[in-house]
Amino acid sequence: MNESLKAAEHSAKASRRAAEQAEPLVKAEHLTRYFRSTAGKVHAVEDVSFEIYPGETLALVGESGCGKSTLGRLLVRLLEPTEGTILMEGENLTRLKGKALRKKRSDLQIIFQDPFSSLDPHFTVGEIIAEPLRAAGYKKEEQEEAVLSLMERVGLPREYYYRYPHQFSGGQRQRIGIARALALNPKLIVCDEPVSALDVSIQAQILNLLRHLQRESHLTYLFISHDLAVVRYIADRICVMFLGQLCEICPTRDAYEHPLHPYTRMLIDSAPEPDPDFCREGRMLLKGELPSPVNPPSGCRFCTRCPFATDECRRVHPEMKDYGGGRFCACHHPLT
Amino acid sequence: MKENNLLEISGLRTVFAPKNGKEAALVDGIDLNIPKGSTVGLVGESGCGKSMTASSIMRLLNPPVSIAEGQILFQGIDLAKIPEKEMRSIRGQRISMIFQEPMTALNPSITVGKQVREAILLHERVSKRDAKERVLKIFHDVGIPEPELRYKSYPHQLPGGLRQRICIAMAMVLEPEFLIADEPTTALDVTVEAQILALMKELQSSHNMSILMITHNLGVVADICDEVNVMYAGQIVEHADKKELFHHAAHPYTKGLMKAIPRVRGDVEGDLFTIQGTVPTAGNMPAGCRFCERCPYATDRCRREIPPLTDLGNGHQVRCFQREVGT
Repeated sequence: MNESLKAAEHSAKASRRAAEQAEPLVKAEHLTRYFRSTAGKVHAVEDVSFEIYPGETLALVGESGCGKSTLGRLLVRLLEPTEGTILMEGENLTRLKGKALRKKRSDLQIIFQDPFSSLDPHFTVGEIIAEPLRAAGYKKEEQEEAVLSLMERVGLPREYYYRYPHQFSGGQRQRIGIARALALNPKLIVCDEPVSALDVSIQAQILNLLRHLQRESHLTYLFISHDLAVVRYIADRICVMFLGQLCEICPTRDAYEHPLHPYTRMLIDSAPEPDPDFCREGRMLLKGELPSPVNPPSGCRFCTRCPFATDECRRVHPEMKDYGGGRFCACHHPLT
Repeated sequence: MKENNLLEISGLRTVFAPKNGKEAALVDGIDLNIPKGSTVGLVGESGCGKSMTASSIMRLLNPPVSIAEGQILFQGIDLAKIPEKEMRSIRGQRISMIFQEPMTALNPSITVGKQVREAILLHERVSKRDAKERVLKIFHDVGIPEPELRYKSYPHQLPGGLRQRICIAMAMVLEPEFLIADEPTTALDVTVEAQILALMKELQSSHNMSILMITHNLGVVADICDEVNVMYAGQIVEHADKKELFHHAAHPYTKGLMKAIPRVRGDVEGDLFTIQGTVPTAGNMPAGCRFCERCPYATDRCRREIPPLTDLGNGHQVRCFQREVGT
């Protein structure tokens, strides 16, 4: 595809987003979640605000332990936030309880990383995919019909209906998990590292499937991943997370080509490139290890690893600022 | 054995042979050379036999898995044949290994300093104090901050990147001639992965050792390897110099892998290329080429006969009848 076509597709996506800008599907405001541990209070997610627009794929990237999975679980209410609210189409999800919450759960689904531990080995494929339908009160006959059509949508042959998870490879199991997540036509699917446990050749099959399903059914994904190549391929926008807080939110291409936050730049520069001629000199690489989420640094959380950190960074926590064009960054000294 | 090779594997067959069951070859007749002072990649997907190859070299196989045929010549010694006692003096000292998961590779109830010291005391007659000095030196060399403090840490007290550095220190402390790295960065974050790869490159040139790098990640291969072997279903299907492999991949499987990965630096429009189907399991191999059921170019001949590893010149070898197709 030539450059102008690429640009056209890019701007089409941007304008689609602009049109939707008025109505986010999900709006997270000041989400915070602490855990208690023997070492003290773990600041897993702290004061995180962002929006997800209908039909888009928003990626959440960061190193392990940065709180991205916790944030994903907060959004589908598998975890309760310590503070903050989640609004879905204007409705406050964090307030919902009992029956109302159970009803809402059909709109919120999740696909897990490990296709081996996320499927019950005692259930057949048919039963696993029917589980959410059963919980939502569908009749037996309706369930079977729905399951068969779901299996077709995710590319599982009908004859697998009575088989058990252990009879399948990782890729096929992930398809089962996807079918289960799709069963109730959810509005938001949190994909928590859905291809990280898969081999390269299978990873491509699952990524294509997720894209096709999105186009077909106007699905919205929160795509949690540490793989920056996968994210570049699948995401419309990116949230970069460091030690429980967001440092940058921007359209995918901007993050890769003109990152604002030094951490974004360093994360992308660290990613290995399958090209022997790729110049590895001049990359900005991170030194040291992630600070502890029990005692996060004061001021900017990234200051202990940042080559540009000043006294201000060590003292004052940077606010998320709007840089136009859908770019937001929390840094006292953004890259230009 | 060629002068400049440190290790030469020929016709290695490692089989799973249960008493009352069918024998299945996990590694099926591979040839592999490790030149002195170079890093050789062994690439493939899970289950292709790459880790089994490493375990065969280290002789870490447990029944019913064993080496059935073949030679593993290391400096003139056939590792496949020597008694366990002799192997024990080579393992850990002249050949050492680092594993994927640094948490399970370390003993959780012994401080990391003592664990690394143990490696020295096992192989050499030195005092505990001298051994400790050497541990502290190697901790410093592999970039562990505050070696004195870390010496007394338990594995769970360290982050993943530091744990892997401890494993590297343990593997390096006796200055082996040959290091096997089995997916050493797969469990780590990209930021730490870049640090560990840089460290391995540095250690290799300062110690002039050879490395066998086992990985599924072509980005790691492009970064660190000199030559590459691609493994599929127990066999080596392609071997070439790194640049040759990335620019002129000849096997349909290698080409498929290269096209299936999304890129960090560059856009992929439309669908990703996929390799249809899944890897055949050991014991259910097709009669002919092992890739034939997933290969878009397969012919009747491919389904009947196993293609030999053919030389294309410049040391580029490929196991395919149809290598002219689709290039």
